Amino acid sequence: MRWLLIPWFCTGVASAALEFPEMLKEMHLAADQSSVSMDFTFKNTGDKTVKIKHYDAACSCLSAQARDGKLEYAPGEDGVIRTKFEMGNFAGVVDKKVVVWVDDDPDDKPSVVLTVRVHIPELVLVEPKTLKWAVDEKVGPKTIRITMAYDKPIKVLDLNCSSERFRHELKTIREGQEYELTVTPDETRTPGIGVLRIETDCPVPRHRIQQAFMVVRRAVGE
Amino acid sequence: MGSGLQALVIGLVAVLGALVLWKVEGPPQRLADDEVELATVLGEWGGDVVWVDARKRVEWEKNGLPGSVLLSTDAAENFDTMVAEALPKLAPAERVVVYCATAGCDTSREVAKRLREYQIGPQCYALFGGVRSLIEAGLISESK
Repeated sequence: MRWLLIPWFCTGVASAALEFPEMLKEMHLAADQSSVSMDFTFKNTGDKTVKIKHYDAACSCLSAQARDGKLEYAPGEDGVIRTKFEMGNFAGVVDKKVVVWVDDDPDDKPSVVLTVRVHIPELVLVEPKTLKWAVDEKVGPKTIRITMAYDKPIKVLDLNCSSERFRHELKTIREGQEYELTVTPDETRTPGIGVLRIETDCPVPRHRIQQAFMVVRRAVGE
Repeated sequence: MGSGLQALVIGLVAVLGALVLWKVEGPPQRLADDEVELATVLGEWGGDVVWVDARKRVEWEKNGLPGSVLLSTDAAENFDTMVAEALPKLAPAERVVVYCATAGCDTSREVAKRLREYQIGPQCYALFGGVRSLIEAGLISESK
């Protein structure tokens, strides 16, 4: 009996699905690039026709389409799924998935999950992004460092805080290159939040505005 | 049959069973370090979390978990602005759990990772099983 089951198992695997040489495609983008396309090639290495039921990218920033809209692939036939990623306001390393269901894949178990990984330069680095004070902590200043990572100077033009509770002061370390932003809460007796909007003259619009957060919060478990 | 042969046969049958299960059910799904199961959220944590919906805005508006906040990586949205708007809920929270839609989409893990990078305070997890597990638990309706 067991000798009968093994060929059945192996046959099933061989004809299971489409074979993709690369499940992850990675690309480093220019700062001002607005979109990028990546192709995932595949081949039906099985012994029966495979039908792509549907595919989905969980973000409107990413579209995917089989070449020529072709959805059925005979044994030995190859194809391409072309993806197009729109940068939007992303920065840093971004992973996006394209999920492909073939034949009888259940909704919760797609056969193929492809990953598009893009490295988008961060031109204005804000570190840390959040300044935190614990409730009843001694009131004191904390500092955010703003560093420009571009081949031309980027200046901080304006700062705007959503809460009057936090006082802020900008210090230029190197004009167009590096700044220090010191923030001090008026008090820390009660929890509170603030959003600091940092406007720059960055020539790439999606990097122009940055945000930093200030939080006065109770320690966990209190 | 000698005991050695018996052990070999039992071993072979066990391996064969595992292979058949693998074929029928697919490979086992493991919980990643940044993921949490719904049972843990509702049981061990008593549901005391801030829920974050990482789907598209239209899906969140259709059947987002009541009280959840939208933090979508959709290109049509500004993530920073959404975090700023959600800050009153996120900042005081001890834990944040992010769910997304499509099986294997991993958007919830990406949003949880981004939230951790903001260092706002709460521990951030992705919900294992995504919105499907919330629907199966009856917490939200599929067709709402």
